[in-house]
Amino acid sequence: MDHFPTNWGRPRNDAYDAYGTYPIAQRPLNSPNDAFTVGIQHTQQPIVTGTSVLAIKYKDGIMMAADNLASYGSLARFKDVQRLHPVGNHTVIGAGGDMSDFQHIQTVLDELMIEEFSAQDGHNLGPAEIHEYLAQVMYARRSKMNPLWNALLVGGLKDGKRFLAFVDLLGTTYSASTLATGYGSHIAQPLLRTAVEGKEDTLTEEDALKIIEQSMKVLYYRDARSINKYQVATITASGTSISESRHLETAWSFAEGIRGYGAQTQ
Amino acid sequence: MSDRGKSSEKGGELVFGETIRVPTVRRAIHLSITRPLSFLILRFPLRPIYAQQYSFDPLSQSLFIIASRLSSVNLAFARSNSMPDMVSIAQPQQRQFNPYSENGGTILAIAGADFSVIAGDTRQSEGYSIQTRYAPKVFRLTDKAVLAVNGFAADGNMFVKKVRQRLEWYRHAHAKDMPLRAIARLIQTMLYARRFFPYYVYNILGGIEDDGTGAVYSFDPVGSYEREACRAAGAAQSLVQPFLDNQIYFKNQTPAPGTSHPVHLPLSTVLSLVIDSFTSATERHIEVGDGLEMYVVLAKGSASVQGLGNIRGIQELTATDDGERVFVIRRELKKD
Amino acid sequence: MTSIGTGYDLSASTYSPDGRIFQVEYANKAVENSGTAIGLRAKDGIVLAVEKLVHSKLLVPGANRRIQTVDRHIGLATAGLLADGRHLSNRARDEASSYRENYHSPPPLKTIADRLGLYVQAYTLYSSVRPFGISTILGAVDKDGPSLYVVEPSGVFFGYNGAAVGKGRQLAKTELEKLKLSELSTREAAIEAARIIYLVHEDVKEKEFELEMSWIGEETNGVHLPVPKELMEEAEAKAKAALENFD
Repeated sequence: MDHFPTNWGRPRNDAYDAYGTYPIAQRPLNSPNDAFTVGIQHTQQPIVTGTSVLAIKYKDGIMMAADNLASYGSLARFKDVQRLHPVGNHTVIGAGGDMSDFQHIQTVLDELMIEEFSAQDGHNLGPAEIHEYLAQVMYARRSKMNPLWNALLVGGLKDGKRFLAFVDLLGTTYSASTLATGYGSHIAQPLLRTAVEGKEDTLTEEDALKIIEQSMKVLYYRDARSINKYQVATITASGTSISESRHLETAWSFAEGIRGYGAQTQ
Repeated sequence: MSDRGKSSEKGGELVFGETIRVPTVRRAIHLSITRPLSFLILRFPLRPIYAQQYSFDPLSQSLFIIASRLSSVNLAFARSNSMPDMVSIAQPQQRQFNPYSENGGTILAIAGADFSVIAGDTRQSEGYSIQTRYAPKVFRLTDKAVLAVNGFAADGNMFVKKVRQRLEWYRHAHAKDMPLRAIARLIQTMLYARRFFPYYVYNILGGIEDDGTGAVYSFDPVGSYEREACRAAGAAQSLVQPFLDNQIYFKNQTPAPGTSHPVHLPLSTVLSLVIDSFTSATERHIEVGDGLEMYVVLAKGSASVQGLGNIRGIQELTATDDGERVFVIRRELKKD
Repeated sequence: MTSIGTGYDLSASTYSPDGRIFQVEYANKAVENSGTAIGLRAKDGIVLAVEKLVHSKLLVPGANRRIQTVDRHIGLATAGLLADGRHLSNRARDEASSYRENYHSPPPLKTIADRLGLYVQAYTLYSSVRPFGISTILGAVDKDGPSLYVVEPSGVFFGYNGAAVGKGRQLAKTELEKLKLSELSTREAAIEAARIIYLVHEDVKEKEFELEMSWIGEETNGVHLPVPKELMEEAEAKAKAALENFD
């Protein structure tokens, strides 16, 4: 019997699924290849995935947003998933990519934070330390050819210093005053840069929220793996807070007038 | 020849590793194979075919397949009676995780008589996306050594971290900084240690040797290295290196009769060349731009320090002026 | 201890003819020599307090803590050999973290006390080891509310409303019995705890001591934390005042 439930009742050849409409474009072989590939296989692909995460610096700290969708291929599978996670009192991480890997990361970080708390040595991990730790974990896993399939944003504020940085499944890191993962890095990042660069120290929370909301809306219009339900996290001097889910108001009536493409009118 | 043509009962000529389609169930195909064969592999993406469902006649070099329950067959064959050719087998492709990426940017270093300049842009990109406008690629290791790292950023950062750790251990063991030529050899050893899973980075090490001369060492990802007077690496290497060859080594220049080219250029000239290299690379290469960081390492008591005073925004990184001195100069580059 | 020198007290793996394990009883002696540690299970929280005897004026204030944190919501105070206390708290942390890994929820204190009981008991079985020279007070606020346990060198553990171990335990127990612990807020319990520690120290009064105190309650959000400075000062001032009235 085929032990992969995802294969049941499904065509089992690329000839039938050339365009990857099936959630898992490459399915495991149903029989062993040859004697040499029977060993451990680490290489994986994301299964249940989250899309973009956005984050910006503003006057009082960091604002981060992610929608509540976890997709199974093109299927909107889980529609009430939180992709923002607080770590201690000064940091929030947001994840795109594989959601089970993200849950693993949450577990690891929670364990780390308890270990550090138990030491009671007067040291507290801030966003910079958590980002460095995550970067080492992600890089170590990619070096074992067994990556955690995520793109993560780490945002926070500690001792009056704002921190915002990125790390992904390759261990690649960088920092900037606006960051976005996945589709958001193409669609939202230019909007965020225009709105934020040079104004990091003057934007109010209200301004920041407007920028984030606008970007989430554009993403919802353009990203087929997104949903109009999202959460916003703020990290300020008074700690971290992650909002209840918000709804995006969108209008699609313009679509009625569209007939075909380009010059076609009928 | 189309698939359809080959899938007829008469069969057809097979090309190495190609797929033939058998459109209907329970039809036999008969293929003659032009190349002499003694070994044949059949690959069936759907399910294993039973042994009696095909036969191969080495005398006539022909293959007979009963196409029951088959929709397509991948054929691959070896040219001799040795091992089957694994590479040629068309599998339902399994995409492998690629542990590498390429993050753009360019670095360069130029050695003078008693100084060294090591520079890099600060853009980090992947494909057409700019990840950040400020990610340093040039790092001060000691008071006399600066390392520029270019390629896959995650590997680069990890590599610099490990080099720094080794330099710290050296300091603890010997109560002094490691000499430049020793750092160079250390880097080669560390790179070669990962010969079969390389750090995907091009390194350029610049600084001052124990004899007080300016030096540049350049490396490939697996540790081959040499000492040079100048080197460019990274995305715009092919743009910058020829320019440097011309301006530093005076390649394709003939000195005026009775004169000769200078052996070493003064610091001010070198700095101008570096800035021009990067502004030009920024113009012509999309992965270069945003910011420029130039590190200047001066030998003990170098006279070049005079010229540095009036440079805009220069910043000294060393605490004392009685040894080698390290300065950094930052400039904006175009951001488009 | 009439059996001392009869040879039955040399190993934890040997009973005496009347069925005792002397090594375990000696371990209890090690606890009795130590500064007092107490635990209070109040209405909505836990207070742990320790009379930390300072054996040298050269020590940095706050050094050699005897209250440890096991998990976010679990505290541990020991009386006896300091190093044994640190070893056991490390073990407790491992147990708590393993529980979290297996069940993805905060460990109930009962489970941790049970595991530590088993661990300590294992050190009463073999000739190659020595039993733990500590009595351990465990306090937590878990899903069932506040709870308090004591693990003894023999490996037995019991749940308590108020617990006292170490040199001044008798007097401390008497004082604890006078309190209506189930009606006390955690804040009030902290003040009582400080008073009791000062009181039992007054009784023996040989060395300098530092009061070390931690709590878990609504005010700390269910997290085990040192008692904040202002409350500490208030509690100590009241303890000293109570001592003067006592005289």
